[in-house]
Amino acid sequence: MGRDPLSEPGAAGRFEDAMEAGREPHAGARVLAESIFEVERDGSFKIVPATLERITGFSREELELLTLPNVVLVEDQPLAMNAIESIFEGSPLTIQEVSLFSEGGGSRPVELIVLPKKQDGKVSSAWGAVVDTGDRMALKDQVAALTEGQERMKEMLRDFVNVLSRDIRQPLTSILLILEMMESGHYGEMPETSKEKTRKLIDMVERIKDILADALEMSRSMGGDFRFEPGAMSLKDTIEDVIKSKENAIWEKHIAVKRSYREKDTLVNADRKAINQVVETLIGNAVQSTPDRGEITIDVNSVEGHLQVAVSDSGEGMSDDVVESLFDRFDIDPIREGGVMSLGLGLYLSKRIINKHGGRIWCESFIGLGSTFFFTIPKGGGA
Amino acid sequence: MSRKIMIVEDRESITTVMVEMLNVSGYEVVATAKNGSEALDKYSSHNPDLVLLDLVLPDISGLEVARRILEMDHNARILVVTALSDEGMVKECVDTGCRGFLLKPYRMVEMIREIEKALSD
Repeated sequence: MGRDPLSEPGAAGRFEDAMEAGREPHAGARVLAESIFEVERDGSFKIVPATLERITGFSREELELLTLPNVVLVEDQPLAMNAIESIFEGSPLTIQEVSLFSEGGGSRPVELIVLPKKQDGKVSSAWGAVVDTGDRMALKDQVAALTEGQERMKEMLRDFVNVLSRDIRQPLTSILLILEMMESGHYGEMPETSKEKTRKLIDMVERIKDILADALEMSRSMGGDFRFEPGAMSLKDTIEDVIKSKENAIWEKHIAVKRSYREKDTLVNADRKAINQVVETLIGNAVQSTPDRGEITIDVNSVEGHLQVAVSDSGEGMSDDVVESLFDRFDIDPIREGGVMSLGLGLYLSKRIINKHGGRIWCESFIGLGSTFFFTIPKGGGA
Repeated sequence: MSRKIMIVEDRESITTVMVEMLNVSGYEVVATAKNGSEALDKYSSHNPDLVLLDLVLPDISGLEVARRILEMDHNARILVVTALSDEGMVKECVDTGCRGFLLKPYRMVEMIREIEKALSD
């Protein structure tokens, strides 16, 4: 490749015809029309002013089959020459990241498209074109800038949610503490109905807390960058810890929580924090949905090599339409008696977490009878 | 004898109700501080059994306050109480020598549990 094909006369304007029969150049690349060349086995080449079919000896249909070349990334010219050698094995090649040096000492990045030339049914030599990749480089820079911008946006979103979460948590702290003091009678005895309303307010603050935690996790996981740290963990311990953390709300609503560990070995290889979040979402939702003096059942069983957890509430149940979109992003639960309750974020995250662990999550619900949320995790498997 | 507690918190609304809650629960709040330098002054003069420390303060960071208190008193017991849910920060606090971490907003029972844990260590 010792000569600058740009200095060769004769082939200008022909490549457009040639390309019709062969491949399109990559997006953003410009074919240097003057630079169609023919390569001989000894590495020498000449400019050829003919259409692709005529040059290569391949039919139009055969050429179309050759438009799926092996792409070889070559960073320097000796390697590029070696790669060209392989063309004589009969495979078309696109050689990227090649520099073309001019007589004046300048250089420019180019791409070589090389196709085998067939004569009497055999590959005798090769032909190629030099493609100016300057535009593509500019495009690459633009893509890099866009990617960087997107990363910056994600970072800004994370910062925003962090700050928002922190700023909401501060007043919530005062609200929660004051409500608890009120409920305990510290500011004077209240009638039972006021106490009950106060307890409901406490529940709502707890709910806001969960939503904030979900929003934080959501902003961190934007773009699919969940950071899992799998390790041996007991699902039973996680379930019991979550029940303990919700004991106030459970006690206040006089809910009976029944557990059935039909599978005794509940060890899985999973991210403890992420699975804890899933269990917290499901049990939290069950506590929210279950009426006073209702019942929640948690069942852990072994099903086809997976541990299956089922959390059932004795709430109002949901229609098929609602169940269908439960795990979609930002889905909003229907208006229930007592207000609107968002289930979307927590369940959306739960689905992503469980899928990432190779499991499945779903819901079965019957109006008037309540809902059961199931999830599975492979035994001994994990993220 | 009730255990002596110092609260370092820049939001008065939170401090007020924390004081009430701690008094009701049988603790003695011996000092409150609205910023880091006030916290350092009051720690030496009141010598509390436990410091409830917010990480975001108007002058110096809560983490720095924790470091300086622990320099003054290696046995100081500090429980970080914050609205930041940054895991890196939690790790840094524990590495510095803080006894525990409580994320705002918290329930009364959670607070007492963490206080007792920090005091019993």
